[in-house]
Amino acid sequence: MTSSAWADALLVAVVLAPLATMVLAVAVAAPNHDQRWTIGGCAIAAMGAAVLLVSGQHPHVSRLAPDDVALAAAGATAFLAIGVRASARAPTVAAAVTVVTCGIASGSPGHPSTVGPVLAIAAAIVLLTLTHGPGRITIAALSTGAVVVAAGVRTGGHGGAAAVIIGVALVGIAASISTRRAINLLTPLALLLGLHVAPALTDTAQARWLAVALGVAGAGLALLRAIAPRGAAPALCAALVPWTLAAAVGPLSGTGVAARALAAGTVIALALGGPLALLAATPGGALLAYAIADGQGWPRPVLAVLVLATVFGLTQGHAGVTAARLRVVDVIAIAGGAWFVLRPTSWTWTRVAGLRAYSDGAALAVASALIAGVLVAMTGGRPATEPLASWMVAGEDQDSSPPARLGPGMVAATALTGLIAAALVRSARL
Amino acid sequence: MPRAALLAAAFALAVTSRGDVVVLTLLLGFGAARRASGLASALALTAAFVRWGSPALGAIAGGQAVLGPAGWTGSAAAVASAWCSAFALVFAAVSWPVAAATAPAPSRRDRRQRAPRTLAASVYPVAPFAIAAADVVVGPAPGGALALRVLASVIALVVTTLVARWRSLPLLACTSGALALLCAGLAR
Repeated sequence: MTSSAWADALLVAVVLAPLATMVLAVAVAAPNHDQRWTIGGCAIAAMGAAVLLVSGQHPHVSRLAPDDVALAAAGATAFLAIGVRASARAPTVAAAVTVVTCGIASGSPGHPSTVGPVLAIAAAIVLLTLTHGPGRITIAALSTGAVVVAAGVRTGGHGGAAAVIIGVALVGIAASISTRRAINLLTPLALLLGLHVAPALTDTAQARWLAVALGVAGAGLALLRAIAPRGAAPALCAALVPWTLAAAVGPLSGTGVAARALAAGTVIALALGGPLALLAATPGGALLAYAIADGQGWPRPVLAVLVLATVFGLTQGHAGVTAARLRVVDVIAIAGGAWFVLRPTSWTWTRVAGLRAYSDGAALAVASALIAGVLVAMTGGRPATEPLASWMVAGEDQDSSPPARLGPGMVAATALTGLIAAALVRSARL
Repeated sequence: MPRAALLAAAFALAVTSRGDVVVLTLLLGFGAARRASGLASALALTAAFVRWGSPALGAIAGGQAVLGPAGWTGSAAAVASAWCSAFALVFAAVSWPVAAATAPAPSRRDRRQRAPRTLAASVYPVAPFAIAAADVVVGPAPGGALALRVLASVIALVVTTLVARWRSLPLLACTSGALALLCAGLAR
């Protein structure tokens, strides 16, 4: 574990920058529609987390000690906040980034906290409800998930771990049901908690049943996309959340390796939102497919059928492509996604292994495609790359959950679930 | 142009037996620009992966170099899986343009009046599918029966070109792919 003074100071900046810029904006009486403060604070947080991750630092300040996955999740949270559509980027989003980052980073060196993320989920739900973003069903699902997670953390053991996974699956799916929303900030937090808790179930009977249940959820979400009318269907990346957790619980030997890569792909796909953005899950999907093909026991054929159903669902139905404007944050996400798809082993925090043939093939494919593209262009071919942006990035009008009207009852109910979650996690052993 | 580039990349992978089945599946699926072709390719190549126990195209070719071509080596289910995979890839090939391929079969008079397509334009889009089909049924690496692989590739190229020019068979492609995967699972 490497830690230095500058890394500790940078961690403090990563955590506090979004909130500080919000306070500064209030202090200088910046107009509400001026979103530069929010973007600036989140950009500092994202860049700081990326610097800590790339430099291999594991800072430790007070009760904050993020490991490499937590640093990646912190950076992803701030990045998702920058990508939130302009109409939903309220100052509260910056405060939510700080709250979520605190939950992500909580723990001691080598022992990430399970309580911190639960409290952060509850608090962030309350904050994000105030942004008028999520709909009633989404808020209800998030609140239920938070309570289930808290109950699981309190119970402990295999049963508690299974409850935590179910809860974070609920939170993760609800948070990624539509793209470019403030509520997306909860997805990295939910996935991180799932990745930390899931290994407790590896090679148990609960892991196999839970993985099948999560696989059914993933396939169901993908198939729902194929049959639901346009506008009512969940975002494509929502189907990846249960599969990430299914891989993490380790129903078969080798699926655990796929979990981090799937989580990275899920967040990249969420940040972009377009149908082609799902390609970011290719490395994780490949690892999961390898593990299922090499696996033993009854979960193998069941998971194989569910994976096929998911792939079928994701490739059928309407693509949901709308005119999209490519922003700087989208270009960064596309570049990061391309890097991850072509050379996943260079993202060392994902700890992927066994992708040598994949990486060789990707490199050869890129070289061949570039040569062919140049030859076609030289012979008078027209480079039809313009529509790619629309396939890669979600348009501003893609909206599957209409915003809720915020009333006192809604705020009280959400706050109450947060209090229940907090009360549940208060126990002597935590 | 993106389709041409993707098909060229798929051809390079299939000819050199480098890379893995996931990358080749994606390239074939996006290169064909048809969902059924992508699904059929995925099923066929997954069947080859399940049969040989490795996703690497090099390992699949190496296994055939040592044990013999997949088309007539191993159990009946394994042999059936290889041939079904090959048929799935042959039927998944799409000639350019897609709209003409998916349209109802033209009358004899229409066919005569249609502008003649050059040989290169007919062969180019189906070549990666043909080479991949040859790879999964008779695809030993150097050190094995390489002459057979070359012969199989030429035959597959001719058959695939003719089938793609005749008509599009997406349902048959997917059915063959599913059968291939089923047989590969039984053979394991």
